[in-house]
Amino acid sequence: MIGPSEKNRPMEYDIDALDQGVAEVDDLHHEGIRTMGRDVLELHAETRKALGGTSRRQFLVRSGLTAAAVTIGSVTLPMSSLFSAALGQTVDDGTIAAFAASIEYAAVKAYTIAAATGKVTGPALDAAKTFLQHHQQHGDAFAGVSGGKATKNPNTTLVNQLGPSLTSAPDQATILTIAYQLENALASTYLFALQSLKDPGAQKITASILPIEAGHATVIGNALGYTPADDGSRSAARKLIPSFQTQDGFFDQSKYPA
Amino acid sequence: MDVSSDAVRRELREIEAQHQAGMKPMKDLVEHLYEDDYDPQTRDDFVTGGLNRTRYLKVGSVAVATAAIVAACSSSAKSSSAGGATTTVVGSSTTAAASADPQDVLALKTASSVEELAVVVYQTTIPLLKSDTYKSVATLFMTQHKDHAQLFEGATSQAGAQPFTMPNPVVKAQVVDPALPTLKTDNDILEFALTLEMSAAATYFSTVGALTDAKLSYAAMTVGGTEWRHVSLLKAVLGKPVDPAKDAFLTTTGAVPFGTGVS
Repeated sequence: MIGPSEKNRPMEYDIDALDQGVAEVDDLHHEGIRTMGRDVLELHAETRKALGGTSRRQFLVRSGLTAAAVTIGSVTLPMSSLFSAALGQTVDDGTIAAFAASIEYAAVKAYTIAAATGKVTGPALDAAKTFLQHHQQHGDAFAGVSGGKATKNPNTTLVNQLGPSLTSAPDQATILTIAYQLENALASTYLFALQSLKDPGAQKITASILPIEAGHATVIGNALGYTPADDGSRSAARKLIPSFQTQDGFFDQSKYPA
Repeated sequence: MDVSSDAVRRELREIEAQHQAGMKPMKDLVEHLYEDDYDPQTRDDFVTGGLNRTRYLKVGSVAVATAAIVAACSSSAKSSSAGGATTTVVGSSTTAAASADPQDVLALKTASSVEELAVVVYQTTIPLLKSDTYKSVATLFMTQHKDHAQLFEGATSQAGAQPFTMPNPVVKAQVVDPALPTLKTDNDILEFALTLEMSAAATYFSTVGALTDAKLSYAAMTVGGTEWRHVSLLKAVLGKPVDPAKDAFLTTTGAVPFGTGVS
């Protein structure tokens, strides 16, 4: 971790948990490289479909590719990919915004649970409270452009998956590892959403939130020791700050219904 | 934590390895295009024309992200020719060049100029940093700005325009040149870097809703997300607090207007 002074070091590390977290992120990284290409293919597919050509879905059926999974803490989440059943369906902006609001409120719930464990303390707790407030504002912003489709309820599926993992986490580092991956997944989700949103207002809100989530992930990752000044043996720096934001590990609307 | 030069070299080797790994998605892309329904001439045009024009790009994520922008440009071309008797296809750079929206091209040039400026700033200030840790952070950021510049320069070329490969002259003259002699400490340098990074992120955010093709904004935000990671890490290094009320949304404050110094 790098920071202004020793007093701001927020935690003691559980080396095993941290190591596991690094390994998980390593998996995410490699999956990201794989899916990035597909993201590009999808962009081309959109053009092709408009021209009356082969659909991306047809291509996928022929190629026989399957979806992957991502682990957040001890929870294995279905990793949305461009092979999602939701892909290709026409989803209106209001529905996307309502979904985004639900996962933001789930993030609020997750940080609330994390704080209630009593295992997150000091500067890490301060950061968690700040991020919680950000997510509340993000949820409200998405709800505001949902055309009345959003509720104030957190995404049930996501809360049900994250809640037990957070409450059973043995230490602060494990909780922060979950939060780190959650924030990255949110950033990825909004990049994915930008492909589909039509309304400029919804696009702007999404684009204004995406970097904030990426920033949250960076702050948490830095606190966990994923720094550019890492020894490089596991390429931690590249995971903390990739050259390009990707859709790696985004939340699939079809698997996390609002 | 100090970092040895060996560690920095290892980091650079990893970056190169990642670039090499990025070849796989590009290979997938090419294979996919070959698998499509396009006529043979169209495929040949893409492979011998469109793809070859990326030869000045490094392989890997830069090339892949460039492809995203190229797809956007191609989409623009497609849209603008809709309804007519057209054979416009992905990778037909001639058509894309003829149809690229001038505002979109201006945004691409502005973006590359901002990235080139960031590279120059880091090149100039890294030797001045006393902390090895900060040097390694700045070196990583500089490398990523090079990636971003190449992305936008490649996309500009694909759009049929001359890439802007110089640091933004207006921002350099008005902001950077006067500031550089005043940067005496590591904190001074990091504070200045923070300002530049925030401006870059705001610039990319300003593309959203402002360009003809929304997919260009999508591509810009793949960079904007990373710039804000830079911002967040620099804030952490500098001990700057994140405001629960004010810092929940990125704004266009500090954005470089499209066309500044590049038109």
